[in-house]
Amino acid sequence: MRKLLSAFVIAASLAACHSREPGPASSGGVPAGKIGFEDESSEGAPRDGGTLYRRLEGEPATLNPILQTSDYEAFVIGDVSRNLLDYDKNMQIGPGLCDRWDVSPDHRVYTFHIRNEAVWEDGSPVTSHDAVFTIRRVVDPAAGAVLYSSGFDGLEKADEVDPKTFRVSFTKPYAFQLQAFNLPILPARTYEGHDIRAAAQNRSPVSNGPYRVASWRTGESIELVRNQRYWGARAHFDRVVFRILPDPTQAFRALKMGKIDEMRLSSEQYRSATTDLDYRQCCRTTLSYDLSYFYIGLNNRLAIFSDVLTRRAIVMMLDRGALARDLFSGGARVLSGPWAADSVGYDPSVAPYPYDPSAARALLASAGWKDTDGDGILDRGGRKFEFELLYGSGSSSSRQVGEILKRSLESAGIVCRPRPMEWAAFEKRMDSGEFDAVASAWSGDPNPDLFAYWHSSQAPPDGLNNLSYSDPKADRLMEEIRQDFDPGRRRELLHRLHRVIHDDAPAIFVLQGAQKYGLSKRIGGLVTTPMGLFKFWPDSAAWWDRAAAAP
Amino acid sequence: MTRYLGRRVLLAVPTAAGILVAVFAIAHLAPGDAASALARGGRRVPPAAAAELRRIYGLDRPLPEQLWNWTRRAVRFDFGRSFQDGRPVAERIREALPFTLALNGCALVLTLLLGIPIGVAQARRAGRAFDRIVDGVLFALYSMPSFWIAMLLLALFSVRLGWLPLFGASSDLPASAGVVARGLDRARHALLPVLCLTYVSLAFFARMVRSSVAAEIPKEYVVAVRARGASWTRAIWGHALRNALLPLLTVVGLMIPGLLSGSVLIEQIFAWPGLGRLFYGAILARDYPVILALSTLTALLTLASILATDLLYAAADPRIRRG
Repeated sequence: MRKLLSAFVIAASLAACHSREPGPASSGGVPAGKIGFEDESSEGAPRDGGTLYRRLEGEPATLNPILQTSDYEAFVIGDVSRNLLDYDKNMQIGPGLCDRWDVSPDHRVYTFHIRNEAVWEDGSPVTSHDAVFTIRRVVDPAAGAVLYSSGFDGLEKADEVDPKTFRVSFTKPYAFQLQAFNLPILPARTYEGHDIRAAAQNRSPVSNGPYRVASWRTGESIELVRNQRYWGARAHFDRVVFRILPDPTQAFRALKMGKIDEMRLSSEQYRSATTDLDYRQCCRTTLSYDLSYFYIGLNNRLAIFSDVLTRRAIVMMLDRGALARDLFSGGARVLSGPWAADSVGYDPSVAPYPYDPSAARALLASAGWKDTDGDGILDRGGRKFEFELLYGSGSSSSRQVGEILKRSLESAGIVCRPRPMEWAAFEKRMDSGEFDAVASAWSGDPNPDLFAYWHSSQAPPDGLNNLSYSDPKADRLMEEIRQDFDPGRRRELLHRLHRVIHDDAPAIFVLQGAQKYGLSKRIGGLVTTPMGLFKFWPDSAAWWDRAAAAP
Repeated sequence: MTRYLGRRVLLAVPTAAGILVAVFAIAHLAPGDAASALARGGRRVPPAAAAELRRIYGLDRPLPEQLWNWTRRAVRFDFGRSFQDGRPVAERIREALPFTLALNGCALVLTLLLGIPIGVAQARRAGRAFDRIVDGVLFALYSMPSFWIAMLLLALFSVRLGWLPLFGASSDLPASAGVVARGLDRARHALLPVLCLTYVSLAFFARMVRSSVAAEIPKEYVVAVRARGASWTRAIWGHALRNALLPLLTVVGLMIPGLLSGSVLIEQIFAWPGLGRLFYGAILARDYPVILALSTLTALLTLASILATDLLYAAADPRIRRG
């Protein structure tokens, strides 16, 4: 029993030290990194050959593409399974396994044409039967395809038209419907009649991408080799080996010793990299923004956060400029709305609230907050201004930002108690809306539709609007955006929505921190996009080995 | 003896049942579940999809029903399928077990082989400088966190000197590599983790040996052996140690279950694909079938080794079995 308890304790403390980043440090010695979009895709003459060694922070649970839930799975699957449609480096949805598609005038029926040349690794063609089979599995509740199922809400039917053409119709038109087809597919033949959650093929998937799985040594590595039957442009590396290296310090050593070619750097590693001779000899650092951002959500349902003046005051009490400078090494952008700055929805003309504690105090006073009993804590209607700020225990930026917010609010007479929680427990509290405030990261999506996350109908326990944000103006805009098929007008509506949400200040959209990757210098062909280094086509499949022998 | 054995075994049954219920309760009462654990890293799972997952996993059933279903299968050693990857739990354990057994088995053997001579040598010189110095060294070792030592050893032997591999349980050897080459490769990978696991238990075990042997030395029978003209070495190794072994049996008995419960930290640092990482990952993912199966196995092994220790005691000491 004690053994088990101590295992729980160890697990909890490991989770707590998962990303070991140091406390606030001076920005001295850190070069102002250049963050812009890099594109080496047309540089030099890419050569074929060699092995790319990539790092996975954890073991994939499955390589069944529609059951994936983690980044580790996404990285491997991305090399093995093409999607029906893919995002390109400009975040536009475009051809993948399908090269053409038609949309009915009422925007309800989509007809897709799979490329004639597209084949599985055994040479059999990728067919509309595979696609329809996959879509039916995705919407089957028993399959539990949590990442993809909501994209097919309102599916009416999916049918094969001919071996390479299939038609999918929906009950309602939806402006971002096409993004649901950023979907990898299963070979129907090998999955038919199997329980897809338990199928043995989930560990040895059939490839339709540039690589196929050669071996998987549990807990150690996954080896991919070139799929000789791949129908698209050849990838440059002959082999890709994913090494499963959970410990960040070990991974950093492995990077410097040339055992892996890329890894995400923590702020601490990023800082030490600038002075580390070994690192500078073998590696380079690339900085990019992706679509994720860091926020502090206020539970709008609570009396203390129910009025907009109070919420704005809280936002203005946090010095985000200083956070961006001192805490987020490598660069950070302060945000004013619920998207990353490169998202189509983000309106750059909306300025973030300034850091202005005295104006914030005035706002609090006009919202009715006063210290009536002289205990140093503000109160209103007999209620003290106290709240708990929950965050996932693995996140050091949440911890640091939480402490800074606590200190900033203290001076104004507000008690904020940051409280770390183990991840699964934290998520449970967040989903149920049972919290005062949360600090968390928003992972972001090329799809700017906010309906599921901010519409008042989506409040907990049945929806993901866990801040219980509610504004009739915003509701109406979110509904209109989903129904508007003109990109220009939609953009305008998104920008209006941005302003409404900014004015309501339901959360502190704290900032967007740069993603820092350390890469072996021999890797060429790097492209960074608004989505970061990965998750578009062809991301790492276009990398090549500068050291590979010339043919 | 048979009656004694019967009584002990019968007593073990309710203990085992109690442990299983407690493990089940702790695992399920921990906040969060397999569906909420999926959202790590900022990806939101729509509540409807999360509810479906809970239904697939049977988490929507009342707890007593889940416990009953689980017990019914567990008594036949059917631990079901892992929530994470849908594979049979037994298969996942079988895969990781050899790695952990190899690591912990080597560490246990080394601990015994080194701990007894060190403890005996100390006991013989009890109170003298040698004893105090070794005691100090062992105490220092025991207090040093193994993950830190692991990092230092890696920095020296893998990074600085490049003698030993940095991570993993094997290298990417060419398919043509022979058995010897493969064996050597494994041994090189296992060396540092085994060292890290050994020094902690060695420090602990040697001190136990020292104190039990030292307690025997002043006794009259040892003096009598010496008086008969036997050497110190014979008196200690042949007589004092034998009598000191009884309490040590308990300690070793309690170290046996440790063979199964892998060391999470060491396996994590060395990227060693053993049971410790399996268990840790299962806890983070709230993969109840895996958590419960591993806990059950460890609990049963603990019970079995306690039982075995008791029986050895009884065999060695007539007072106990008649008691």
